[in-house]
Amino acid sequence: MEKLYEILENICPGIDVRSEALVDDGLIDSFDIVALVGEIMDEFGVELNVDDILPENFNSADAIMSLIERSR
Amino acid sequence: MRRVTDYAEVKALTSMALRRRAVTNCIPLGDELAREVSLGSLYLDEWEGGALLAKRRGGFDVISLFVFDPTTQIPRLGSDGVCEIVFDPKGKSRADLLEGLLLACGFEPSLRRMRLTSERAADSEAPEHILTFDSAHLTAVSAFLEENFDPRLGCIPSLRVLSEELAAGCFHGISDGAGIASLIHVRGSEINHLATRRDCRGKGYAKALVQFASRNRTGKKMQVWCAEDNAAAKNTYLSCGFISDGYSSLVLQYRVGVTDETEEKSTLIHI
Repeated sequence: MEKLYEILENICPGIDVRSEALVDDGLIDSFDIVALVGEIMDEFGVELNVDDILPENFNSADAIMSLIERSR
Repeated sequence: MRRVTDYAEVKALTSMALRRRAVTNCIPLGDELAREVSLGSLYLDEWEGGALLAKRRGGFDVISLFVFDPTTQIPRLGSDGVCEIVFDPKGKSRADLLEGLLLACGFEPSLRRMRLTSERAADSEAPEHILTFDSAHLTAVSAFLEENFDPRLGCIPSLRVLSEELAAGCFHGISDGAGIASLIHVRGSEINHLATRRDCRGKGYAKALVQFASRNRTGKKMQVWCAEDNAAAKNTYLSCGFISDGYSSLVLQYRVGVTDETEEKSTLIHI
């Protein structure tokens, strides 16, 4: 999880990476998600695609971690 | 450009684009792309430095760009096309890069839009004469949209989608003896269309419809993309509590063989 927090902080400096409403509260948008996905694919060795770019998959660090686990 | 017949190809392309940190104008949704493939209306073009997906409409393509290498040039389209670049202030450099690439391959700027949002519920009662249009109004609503919006810039839904959204209660309006006087189309938390017939403008119909939509919204906030040069629409939304959230968009068009720059530009929302 710490690695994911680090990626979030690098892509969206200053946001509360522990927020449960990253998308709903506008802390990250779809273009941040695109940048985030590229980093996740490299750092966690998973394959993601356009089907995975759903707001509910990126609304919190836990949701992103679940997506990573499902993609392994 | 070739037709995409297998959605797996789109998934592979987008996966590769995401891995390579492609610069893109907007993020297409997977279910939307899958539907386009099943309808046979999704096309793909690839070049050394990127790829584009084109959703084919009647007479033009709606373009999604994925640029891996901005030093390469986007190939010229074989048909008319529309490409919208959405960005917030921190994405201005990305937008400038894409705009430069599109201008270099023959696109021209057509429309600038700003996103307005509101978290405020309307404080006045909605007029009782606002109707919810249903499937029985398909022909009238379709004709009203075609009369009031440019098909290339106004995102007019197909008859199939229009029929589904009428059944879902997404269209509301005010009618008089001459037909639909004013109409609002709300999809989820977004106002997609708002227009008032020319002879009915200035009567407050549009504001009443926005207030109606605001009172009946299901989410925390509402949003709308408003043409920057449409003062009437902008004032209507501002008077209903909408404010700019910093997001903007630039719509560019490519027209095969057309160079007449005096052609009248259309606006997205007419009030």
